Amino acid sequence: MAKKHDKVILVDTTLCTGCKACQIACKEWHNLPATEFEHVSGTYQNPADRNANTPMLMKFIEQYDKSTDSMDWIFWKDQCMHCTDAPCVEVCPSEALFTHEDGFVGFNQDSCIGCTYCSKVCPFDIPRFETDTLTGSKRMNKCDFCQDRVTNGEVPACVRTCPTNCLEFDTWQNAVDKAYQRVEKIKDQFPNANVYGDTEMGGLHYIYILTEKPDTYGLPVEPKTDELVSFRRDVVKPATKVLMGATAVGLLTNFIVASANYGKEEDKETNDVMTNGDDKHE
Amino acid sequence: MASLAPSFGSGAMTNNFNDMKNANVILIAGNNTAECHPLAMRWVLKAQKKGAKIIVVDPRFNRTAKVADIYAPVRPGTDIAYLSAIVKYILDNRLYDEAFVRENTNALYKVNPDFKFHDGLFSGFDGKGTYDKESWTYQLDSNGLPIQADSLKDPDSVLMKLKEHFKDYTFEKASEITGMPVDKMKLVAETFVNNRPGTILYALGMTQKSVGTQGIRMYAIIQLLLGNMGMPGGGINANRGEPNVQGSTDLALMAHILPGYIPIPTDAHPTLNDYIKAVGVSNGKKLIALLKAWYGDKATPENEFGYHNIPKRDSKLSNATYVPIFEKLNQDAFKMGIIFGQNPVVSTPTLDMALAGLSKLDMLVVSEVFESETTSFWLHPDFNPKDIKTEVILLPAAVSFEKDGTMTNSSRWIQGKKAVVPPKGESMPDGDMIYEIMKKLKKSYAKSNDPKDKAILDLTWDYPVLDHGIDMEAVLKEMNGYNLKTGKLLNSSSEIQSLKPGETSSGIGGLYTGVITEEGNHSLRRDNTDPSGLGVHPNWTFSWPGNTRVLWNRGSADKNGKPRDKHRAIVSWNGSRWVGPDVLHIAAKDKAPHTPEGSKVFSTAEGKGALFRGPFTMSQQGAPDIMLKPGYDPNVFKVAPVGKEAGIGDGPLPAHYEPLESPVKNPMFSQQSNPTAAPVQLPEFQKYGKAKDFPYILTTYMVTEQFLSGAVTRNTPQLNELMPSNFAEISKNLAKKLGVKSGDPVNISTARGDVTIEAMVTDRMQPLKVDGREVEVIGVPWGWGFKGLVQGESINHVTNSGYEPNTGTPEYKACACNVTKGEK
Repeated sequence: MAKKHDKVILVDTTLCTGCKACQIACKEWHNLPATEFEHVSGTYQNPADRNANTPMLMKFIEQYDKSTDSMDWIFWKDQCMHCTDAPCVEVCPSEALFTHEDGFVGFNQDSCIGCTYCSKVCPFDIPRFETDTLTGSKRMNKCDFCQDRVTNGEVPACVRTCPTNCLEFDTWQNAVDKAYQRVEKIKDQFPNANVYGDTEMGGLHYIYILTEKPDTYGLPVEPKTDELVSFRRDVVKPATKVLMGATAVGLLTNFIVASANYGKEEDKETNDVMTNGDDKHE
Repeated sequence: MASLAPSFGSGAMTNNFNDMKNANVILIAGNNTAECHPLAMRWVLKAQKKGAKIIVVDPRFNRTAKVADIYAPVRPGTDIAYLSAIVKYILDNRLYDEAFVRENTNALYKVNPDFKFHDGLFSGFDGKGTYDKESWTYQLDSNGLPIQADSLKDPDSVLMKLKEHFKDYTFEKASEITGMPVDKMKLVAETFVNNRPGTILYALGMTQKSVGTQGIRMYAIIQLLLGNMGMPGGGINANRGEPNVQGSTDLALMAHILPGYIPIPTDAHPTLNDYIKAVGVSNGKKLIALLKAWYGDKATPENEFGYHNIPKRDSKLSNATYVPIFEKLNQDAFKMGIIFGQNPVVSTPTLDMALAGLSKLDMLVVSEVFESETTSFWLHPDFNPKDIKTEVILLPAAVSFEKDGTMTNSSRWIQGKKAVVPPKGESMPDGDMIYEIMKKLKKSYAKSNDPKDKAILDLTWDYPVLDHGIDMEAVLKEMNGYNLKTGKLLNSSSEIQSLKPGETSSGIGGLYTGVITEEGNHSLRRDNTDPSGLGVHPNWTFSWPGNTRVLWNRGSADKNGKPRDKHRAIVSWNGSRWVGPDVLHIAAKDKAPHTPEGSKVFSTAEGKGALFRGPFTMSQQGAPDIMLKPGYDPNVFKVAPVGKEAGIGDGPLPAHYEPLESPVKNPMFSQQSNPTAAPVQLPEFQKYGKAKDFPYILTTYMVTEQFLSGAVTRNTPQLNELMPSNFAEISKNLAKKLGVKSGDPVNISTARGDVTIEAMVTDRMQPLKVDGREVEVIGVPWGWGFKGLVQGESINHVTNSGYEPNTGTPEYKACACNVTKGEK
């Protein structure tokens, strides 16, 4: 389980105005370029999906109830949820992904070998890859919790920029308590209000106050660790670790790609979509 | 601004952003706060978290509506109808704050019996487009003071005139006009009335109408009736769009005023005496202080303080407001134009008129950060550049981070700042450009003896030049003003009124006085402590006037000086003086609450909030009968009026008129639209469409991601990724009818032309039930053009240049259009 003093970002979606300041602050802090200038039809959400240059995306969902003539426009911030029981950390052969002492899933991009294991096991479909057109090597990116900021006493860039205090930086237990109190307060207005993140995956380091059920947001109701995790954790990862010492990079890569394709039929397709950074959801 | 000043005495956001957290209800109507003032939502949502209700009234469900407790749709341009129904509800059920209304408004004043309103026209209409306001006056006693009724039920009283005027605006009638369902409207009315104090936020969604001034008058009337004025969490918060638009308004970025809202002299005031007799004592003293700041020792009583250096506007011509400038350009009135930081080739309604107008110039100088549609207007796709004879010069401008100076935000905070990086390349701050231009002008006119050139030659122009440009603190000091006897900076604008005219100076007529004193530059203060918890922050920069944070705050205390709400004690009388976290506004700080000086809440000529706004002159009691020396005679201050209200051109009370282009016949009167709207000047451009050809309503707005015309943001890749192109929002109902889906092009046409834009089909747009049928509204962001890293067609090619008669604000928000499936 998450530790009570872990660091956490609390998202009160009732206070979000969809301004996207967090999305741009994330890019600014991580020095990521703007690359997607194709307008996504029918929505204010741009780009369509997260990609290696947009590890955090504001999502926009419209819901209209004709019987009551009532409109809801859901905005929510989508990025790595920073699981306590993080399968990506379990399978990462290069220790590019690691559980930080403050609880979140830290990321050392320089160590990433682009094996894509993390994307196979992530219950939230978070990792995105960029392929180097020259070498063909892949680079993963995801929210790193602004680990450079938070380990130096600053709050994450998205929290710092949020104009409405929809985002708060707090300790895990405080955030969970606050979230439950807030849900109690808004139940009259939002009967489906709920806390998301306190029990999922051993406790996320993003705690959400949602006004609708998680599936409305496209969030897994019961996020699960892929069954392959155990295979990779127990078999592949040790093997990869052994190979890490070898200079046979080609062999290593072959082995990793082969094992990454183990199991799922749609893997090939998923991989392509992801590397293109295209959207498959909206 | 044109309606807050006649209602209360001066026009600005009455409270401030932080103060919104004190509200129990917030009506956001005519302002998409979340998308256009995202930071303001921090305070709105703080209030909501404490239990306040947020009401959003808007033709479409926008990002502000998302966080609202109540969202009510409204047909563009018809706000006055539902607001009138709210006023009727307040009056019929006597839900007004009776003590506040009696003590602080003109509710008891008796109205001239000749005042009439019939079938959409007030008494005094000349049949063409102008009112004689003579019958819109009060009944006056022998001293020229308004006669007060004994009871609010007196049929002659202002309050009963209101009741009569608004009697036909039932919720049902207002719903038929606005398309806002009756139950929603009732809920809005009840919620706003039952949760006091309440504040109202508005912006261009309310003012860009042919009835814009009167729409804001509705807000003034409602807030006066409910006793919400002067209260923390109350007031009328005009949200100004650009970071320094309040500052540029304060510094007279309008045709009818000089800096500090001093009325501009016209040919009806050939001497300074005439001017002072026309504008009153206070404005007269402000003008002299302004002339002393500009002309220094060259401004003397003998030369009327240089009064003749100011060009006198032709009193018979209407103000040169926005659209008339482009009309005059097309009529060959100008040879040269200078534009600072504006992009009219995106932002002008009926764009072809603007383009044709600019191409009539011999020369156009534009100060800009990027090449914009305006700096490159000759490259417009409709033009052959060879045909454009205008020489265009681009002055590269520094951006805000490269400039020292101040930015006056919507809260009236004069916020000093220092440059954080030097300007790039040859670019310069605008202030330095103006400094250099004037230096050159002075040089070229140096040998002239022509009296009119004294305006340039006599001008004080001695700002110290630092290594990165002129010393902006010296400019701020000039605005703050000096006591010219002692040479010290003024502490308070009251010194301009109390000292002898000519003994003080202020480049903004005292509006900013106190911002920089011998104590230091208060605009640089950054102490955010808030001892009262009411969001006053008295030591954070400096708020005009006199560091008052909530205007008309005397109104938060009762007639005995006790706070009306103990949780909102912002000023109160302690037995010997006024104290509190805020600086008392208008009333005298050392005068007991029941004295005339200690009871005054508003600074209109009557000293009352105006529920009914006709012309009124407050004469000086016991003015001596003296002959004045010609030109300027200091005795003019003994005979000039104390205050003067001109009234509002289109009526003392608001009435529902249809937009200039509307698919609906006015359900209230046979008078269809605002009878004082200006006639067409350029029939080749200013065309009006008929409802049968243009059955839908087009409204325009901005999105969070792209700011105003996009001249800066569309050149910023990170923002472009967030919103890479333009779109037209249409309802599913209309989409079905047209056979289009999101992403398909739609052709939007009006009598002015047509544009093709990608459709965004959404439930956030719903057809409105108006006059027994369904009316569709189409919404398009306006900040797009043919330059920048991302481009798109400007919807202003088809918007209407008809404008509001008091302010000249065009009716961008409600045009008649047709929509068809477009060609890919």
